[in-house]
Amino acid sequence: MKKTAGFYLSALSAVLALVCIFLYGSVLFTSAYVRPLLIADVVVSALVLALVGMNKTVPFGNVLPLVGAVLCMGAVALSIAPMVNTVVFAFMGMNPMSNAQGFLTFAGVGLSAWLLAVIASFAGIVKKAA
Amino acid sequence: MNGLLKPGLMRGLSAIFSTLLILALSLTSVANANSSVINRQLGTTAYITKTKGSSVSDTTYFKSEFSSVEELANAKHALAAEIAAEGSVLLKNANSALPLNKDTETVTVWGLNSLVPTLGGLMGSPAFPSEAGGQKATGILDALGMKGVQFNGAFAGFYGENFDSVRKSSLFGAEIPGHSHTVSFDTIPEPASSYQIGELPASAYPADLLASADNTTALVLLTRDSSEAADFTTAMTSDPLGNTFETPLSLSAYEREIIDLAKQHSNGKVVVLINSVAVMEIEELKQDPDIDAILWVGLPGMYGFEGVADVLIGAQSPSGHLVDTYAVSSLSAPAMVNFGIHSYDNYSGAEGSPLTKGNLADYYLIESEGIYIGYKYYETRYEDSVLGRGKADAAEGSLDGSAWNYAKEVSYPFGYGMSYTSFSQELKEVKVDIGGESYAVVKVTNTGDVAGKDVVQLYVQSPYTEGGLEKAAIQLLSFGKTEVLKPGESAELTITFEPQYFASYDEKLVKEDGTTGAWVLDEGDYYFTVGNGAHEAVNNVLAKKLGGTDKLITINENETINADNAIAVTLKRDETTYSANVQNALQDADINRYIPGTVEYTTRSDWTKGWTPAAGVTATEEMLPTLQNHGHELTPNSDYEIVWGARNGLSLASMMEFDESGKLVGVTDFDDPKWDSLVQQITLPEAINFLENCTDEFDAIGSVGIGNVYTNDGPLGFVNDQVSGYAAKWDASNSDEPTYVGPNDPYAVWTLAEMPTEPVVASTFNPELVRREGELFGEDGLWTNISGLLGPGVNLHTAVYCGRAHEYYSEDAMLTNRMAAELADGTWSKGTWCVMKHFAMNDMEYNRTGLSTFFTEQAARENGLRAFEGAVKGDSLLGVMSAYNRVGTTFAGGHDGLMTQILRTEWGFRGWVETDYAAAGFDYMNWLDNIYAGGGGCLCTSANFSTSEHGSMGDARNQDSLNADTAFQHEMQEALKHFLYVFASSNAMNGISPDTTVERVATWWEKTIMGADVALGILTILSLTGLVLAARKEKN
Repeated sequence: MKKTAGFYLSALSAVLALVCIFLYGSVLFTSAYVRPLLIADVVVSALVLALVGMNKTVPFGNVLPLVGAVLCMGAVALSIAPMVNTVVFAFMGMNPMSNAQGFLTFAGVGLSAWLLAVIASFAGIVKKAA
Repeated sequence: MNGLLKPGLMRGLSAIFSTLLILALSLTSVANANSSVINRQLGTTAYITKTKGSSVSDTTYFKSEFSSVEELANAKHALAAEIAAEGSVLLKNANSALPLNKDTETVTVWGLNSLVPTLGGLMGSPAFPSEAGGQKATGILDALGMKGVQFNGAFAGFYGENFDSVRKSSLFGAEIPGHSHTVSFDTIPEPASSYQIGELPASAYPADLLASADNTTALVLLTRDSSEAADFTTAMTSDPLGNTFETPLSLSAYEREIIDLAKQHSNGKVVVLINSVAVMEIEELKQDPDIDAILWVGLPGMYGFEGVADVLIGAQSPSGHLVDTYAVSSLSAPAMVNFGIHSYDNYSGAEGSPLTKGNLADYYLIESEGIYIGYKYYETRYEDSVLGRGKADAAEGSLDGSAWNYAKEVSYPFGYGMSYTSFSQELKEVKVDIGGESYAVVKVTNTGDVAGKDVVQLYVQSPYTEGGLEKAAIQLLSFGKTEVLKPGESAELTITFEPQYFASYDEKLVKEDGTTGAWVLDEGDYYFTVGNGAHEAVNNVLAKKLGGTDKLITINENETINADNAIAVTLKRDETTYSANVQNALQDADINRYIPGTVEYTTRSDWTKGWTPAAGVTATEEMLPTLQNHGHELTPNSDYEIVWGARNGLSLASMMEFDESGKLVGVTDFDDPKWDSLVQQITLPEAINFLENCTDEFDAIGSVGIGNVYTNDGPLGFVNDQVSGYAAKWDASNSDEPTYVGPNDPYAVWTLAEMPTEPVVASTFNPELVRREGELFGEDGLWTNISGLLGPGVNLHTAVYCGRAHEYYSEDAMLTNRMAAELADGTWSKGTWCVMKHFAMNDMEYNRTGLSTFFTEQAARENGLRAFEGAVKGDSLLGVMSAYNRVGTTFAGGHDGLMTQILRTEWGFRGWVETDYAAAGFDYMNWLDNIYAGGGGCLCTSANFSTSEHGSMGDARNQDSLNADTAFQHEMQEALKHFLYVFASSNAMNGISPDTTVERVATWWEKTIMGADVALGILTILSLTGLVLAARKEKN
């Protein structure tokens, strides 16, 4: 099986999702569901990519980036509600920007992971999926 | 079309659309949770009321006294100027430097801040005019010009050239003039060091400019800012422009340089205006023979300088009196010993801490001053130094390390103020009726040659036994103000007072019913006196007791001592009259109860105590549950029979009572079971939604026929960052209302927070003016379609470094008590309620969210709480906003003793209660503790709670336990009853009759969001279908 650019983009997206798991620790107000979604993304990506890397056939493997995009966006979307006030206040000058900084960094990396996964979705991860 | 069915394309499109759908749904949820905020900003409304016929002839129950909004705006403008004129306090006037002679004197106004003086608060009560509405604030230069005073325009030009580089800062992303506090809504671990005074050094003044000031009268403006969410700190000793100062409230180097320049380049007359509500250190100005006059003007609001100018030119004689003690040093009061930023040793950042950052429980404030706030410290220690008691002469607490000496400690005492004329006051009679209303009769005579008003301040001294219950040597009891008296004219004022306000709270007294804590009047002589301030009052009492004035000190030239103005009234001991339902409720606020010996409270039995800052405090096991925000738990019980969603055929309007002609005459009595029947009509989801979303826009409760009810932040009027003018809460469907203001009205976007700040209002000592201010706030309510004002601020100026002095009246409880009550009465007369805030002990701004505030119960009851008592126990209905801080370790709104025992049981309060704004993550202000303790509604949105430890009240995880806890549901219904009781009597009922129904409608933005969600949903389905089809096609 020939790996596509999507394979590498998915791997990069998974790495960024992994980074997000740690970045979420610096977010002031959190949702309990964000980390599980990111962990699911990383675990599923790692398994699929590892199997593909070993030239194993993975049913519906090319759907992996789509699943990754959904999980990434789910995590980012769920992280917004608890931080809305803090971010708005920070931009209004009523809170130190440092309060919002952790979240903004997390969201930025999370959206990057999502974007990579979306791009990878177009390409798939292997030329011929089983 | 078939060519599009490529797996890669369909996967990519599916990824895009499905993830955007997820994001859109999430944002929809956020938008819905914050719908009231969005509606407020967009001017949309989600509920409409419909009335089909009406049995009531006229549903405009509260009518305006004005025929147009312009008339109202003009009336507010005039009143603001009048308040500022009567609130200006003349502190020094050597050689009759004031008033100015506008025919012969030209004035140079010194100080860059003169260009844009500070008029209101930076945060909380800004006084920024609406440029879009063509509104204009009146600065000192504008006011002088309006009054025909010639002033040196070259200085204004010079300051204008330099203003941007010196004085501008930003707030809410916009550049604003003249403010410099460091505002923080978050906790801050170190004292803020940034404070910019905003003046230029002498070296910046060109020689030709200085020459232009020669032979003119110098008017020097000294400014300090005030702000919510900010304090002054001792770390502030310089600003980024090179200006230095010993403390942020002392004169800065640049200010001293300017004053020196003014002395050199003037006609020899130098007048200083104090444009600050923070108590500045001005002893050097007082002692300087080259400073001729000092006039305190505070932060006078948008038009107040017009009144100040009237005083400067003598159109009005000053009659204001200080609302705070002007101490020589801002650091000398015992309240400053522990004021500042202190965190528990085991705060959330410490290794192995039991606290988390999310607990918001790291910081504490210990109010070790006990009852000795402001003048109650300085004057009490003074009396003891005269009488040789309590080691009052000891060096501890003195400024220079030598024996404590009143004359070295105080520049101007509380209540002091001068006039262009002179008055004599004669205390003719005092009648004390324990349990009833008492009065004093005072004859006032204008003995000078200028017409003017005079303030009568009635003080009392209670009998004190060394080592006994702490008592201040003097306390303000009541006050009044004359009309304008012509030279030689006299007036007799009857000043009423309530003896409960000079009772002392004894925390240790065990009553017959076995409960502990009572209001006590000790047996002995009570000295009633009048005086130009607290110092003159205590001197009168001392002269009476000592039979002479030998040992007494006066610190201002026009102070008098008159023993005849002190009348002793002997009372028997009484510990029952004012103790009905009373018992200790705040014992958990004493840090020594948790950790004995942590702090030494100030005591007049030994003035050497209380000067050592408390050592580090480690939160104990006993303190942790409430610090971790677990004050209450939902527990299954069947204490109450709870009914929700009943069909009892009632509406809120049906609680209104009309006479035969259809005129409103009142509402159903609060204790009538009909209220319970009404509340039972509310569904549980409605109740949850209402109580958890008490924003500026209370949600409609359709089941009882009430639409959105609006309230708004104050206290200087509805603040413009939230309301944006008279048209803000109207929509076209209201256009038939007599006070409707449409979007095209010139006043549509008018800024309504125009009035002088609270200390200026209080310094008038004029109850009638304050009541009138309330009436005009009520008028604003009618013309904006808003029913409540989040104000006045009723906390005390406990420590002078608290940055929020502009929103609180005074250091004195009784001055605050009366002012708040008068304002509430005036406002309520128009059907608009006031919301007294912040209940209670919100005495420091930095780290206020979750700040553990420790104090003695006696101190709280005789000072901070007494300030609220007048309005809360009065006839007007109102709301109370709980404070951000903790009382001891428990959130104020979740503190049973404060919210239920004191507010409801002892004071009999029937109005409603809500929290301050609970932002997301403020779990310590959670709904559970708040409602269970009687804290009422939550000023936030459900979304803010949804991710906190307790979650939202409506979360599925809470439903079973909430349904099983009937006691909690009972508290919910009680809270709702209080809200509805106030609503039914307010202007919120204008336009509503028993035939009115409320309907929910989708706003345009809700429809737009819904459309986007549906569109993305369809696109997601199509792309996923395409993906499946493409996969099949590829397989085939």
